[in-house]
This record gives sequence, structure tokens and C-alpha cells, in this order.
Amino acid sequence: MSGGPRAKADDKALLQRVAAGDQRAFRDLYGRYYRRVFGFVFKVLRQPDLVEEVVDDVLLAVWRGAGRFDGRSRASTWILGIAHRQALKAIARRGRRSAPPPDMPEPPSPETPESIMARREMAGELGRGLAALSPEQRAVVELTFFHGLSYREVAQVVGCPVNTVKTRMFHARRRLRELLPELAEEAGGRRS
Amino acid sequence: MTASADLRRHQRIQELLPWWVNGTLDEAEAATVAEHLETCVQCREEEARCRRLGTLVAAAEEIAPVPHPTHLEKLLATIAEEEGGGRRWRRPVLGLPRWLQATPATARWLLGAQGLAVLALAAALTVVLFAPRASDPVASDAVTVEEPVRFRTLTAPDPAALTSPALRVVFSPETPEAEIRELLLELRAEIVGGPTRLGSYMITIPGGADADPVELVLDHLRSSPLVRFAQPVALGEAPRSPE
Repeated sequence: MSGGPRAKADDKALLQRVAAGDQRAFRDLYGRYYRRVFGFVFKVLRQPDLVEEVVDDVLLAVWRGAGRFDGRSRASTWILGIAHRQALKAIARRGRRSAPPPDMPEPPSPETPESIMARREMAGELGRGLAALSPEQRAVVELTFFHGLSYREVAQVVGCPVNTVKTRMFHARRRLRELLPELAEEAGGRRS
Repeated sequence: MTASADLRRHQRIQELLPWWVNGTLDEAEAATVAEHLETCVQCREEEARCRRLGTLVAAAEEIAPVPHPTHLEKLLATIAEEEGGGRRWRRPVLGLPRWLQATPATARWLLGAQGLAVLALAAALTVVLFAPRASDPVASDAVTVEEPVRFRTLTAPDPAALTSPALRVVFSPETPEAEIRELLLELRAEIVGGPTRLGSYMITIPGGADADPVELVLDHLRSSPLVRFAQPVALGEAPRSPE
């Protein structure tokens, strides 16, 4: 997902330059992270009409807050952490219990290949299963299986204790198992 | 006792399975899981389910679009406008006090990557020239130039800070301190009193003509899942001393 060790070291250097106000570095970072941030925010929010605004908020927060990056975590962890916070804030602003995200959102016009993909994902079995989770649970699932983070890194991103991360994942899996027969069936006798 | 210890063992192993599946467990933990899986059918089945879930999630198609060519330019224009002394961002967490919107940002824009020493000097000069308010942030996360960090201890509050709007806030029980800290830092709030036995904190927020209206800050606090209760407190009321 995030390039080799050299790319990671470069990302940290880019963030430091952004902290010093280097616009070129910010452009670079934008190019490297836009899609990753977009995808993550989408998966957590599942409200397509909010995603673009939240991604903007994330990018601006990266610009303003780069000076706070202490280099102890990976640049990607830090940026995804901002994305996680901004996504949850957006949900809180809208109100968690207001209209649940639509199963089939209105297609944007014009449709892009990605928006078609997004609607397909949301309509698919996994998508519907994930829709039943809380945003925090979705974040943990996504960070673990899509971004391949360790549980400590997930804890850094979501800003929670490690045990909270494990518990959230445990409950998320249990819920998904109830909703996705495919998961339950696959278990019988099959060695991976 | 053995039965429940057993149950806990299964639970602990099962909690680790997602990270066993994605290969990020450290050696010791991986060995523990591997050893347990050898003899436990139930956990092996759970492992297979977990692996299946992981495969499904990892196989998701890329849904993020390539950004529109003008998007980045618009973003940069927004930044330039804010930093050129333009209007304040609409939400309190992104608000910049007026004195931060002037010289250091412009200097930064012009100087680019030319070195923190120059920027620090510009920041220091600006601090002198623009006489920041008494309720300075301890470590502002909106400032992207080097600045000397100034601490004010809770035992010696700046009297001037009491003329800033004060709020009483109760956080949800078990909110981690890090999250409280984060929320308050974003608002440039400071704890000036409490906690009381019932868990109230007295905080002040930046005041003055440029600051966010108290109502806006209250709305923001009340909409946070971390906050159970927030209300304004009459200005000049002495903060409660901690019990």
C-alpha cells in the first residue's frame, strides 16, 4: 500500500518540509496521499456526499499541523490519524442518529468509474455488512485488513488504547459473522 | 476456574487473530498463536473465518478517484487566503487568532523551505509586535512555525485569563486524558479549575473581538461524544479550586 522503506523515509522528510511551509512538499504529499485518505474516509463514513469535504479538512489539517508531527510514528499513521478524527467529527456534526447512510446513494453526474465502484461496493455483501458496523469499528477493520497495520499502529491511528482496538475488532467480526453467511460457511474444513 | 481460564485463553487468542492473519504480530505473540492453533479446532475455524474476512476487505476495489486537476490549486488558494489575513475559518477548531494570520505565515510563504531559524525570528518579532492575548495556547497546533513553548502552571493562573469566556464542562466518564487534551488544545482552551468530585472542569476559551463566539464553541463541545455537559459560566466568577 504505502511504498517501500525509502518512500516511508521520504514521507517523513516531506512532512518536515511542509512544517517549514514548503508548498512543493505539500504538493508531493498530496499526490501520494489523496487517494489513500479519500478511500479511508469513504470506508469509515459511508456517506459519499460528506467525503470530499472531509478530505479537504484532512489536507488542511495536515498543512496546518505538520509542525506537530514528532517523527515517532510513520507519516502515514499520522495522516490516517487525522483522517480518522476528521471523519468522526463530520459524523458528530451531522448527528450519529440522523438519516442512516443510504444503501444506494444517488449516483453523481457524471458518473466516474470510481463512483460506480463505490456504489457497487456499498451494495455488495461485504459493503452491507460493514454498513451495520459503527464508524469506529469500520476504521479498525479497514486499517487492519486493507492497510495492513499492526494493532499498535491501529491504536496510534485511532488514538485509543490497544485493548480498545482489540475489543472493537472482536465485536466487529462477531457482527459481520452474523450478517455475512459467506464468512461462516467458508470456515468448514478449509485450510488456508 | 480452569474452564474460565480456558475461555479467557481462547478469547485472547481470537482477539489476536486479525493481526496473525495480516502478519503483523511480533515473534512471541505469533508463536503463542501458532502453538494454540495446532491443538484447537475451534480457534482454527475462527482463524479461517478471519482470513476470509481479511481477504474480502483487502480485495476491495480502489474507489478513490484521481483528484480533479484544479482541486489542489483551490486548496492552496484557500490556504493562501486564510494566511493573507483573510476571513476566519468557519469552525472554531480551525480558527486562527488574528495575530497568527499576519507576518509569520506570509514570511513562510515567501521563504519556502529556507530554514526554520529565519521563520523563528519572524515569529518572535511578530509576537513582540502584535502583543498576543493573555490566553496563549500552551502548544498551538495551528502554528506551523517554530515558537518557544510557554507553560503556565495551573496553580498560578494569569489574572487576565479570567476575562476570557469561561465554561464548565463535564466529560463522559472514561474519556481518556489524551482525548480531553486534544479537544481542549484544538479550542485553545485552558483548564483553570476542577476537576470537582462530580467531574466538572472550568475552562477558559480565547476571548476578544476576533475569537469564536461562545455559542459556537459550546455547540462544538456539546456535539462531541466526549462531552456530557457544557455551559457558560459568568465572567469574573472565580474558578473552583481543585478539591
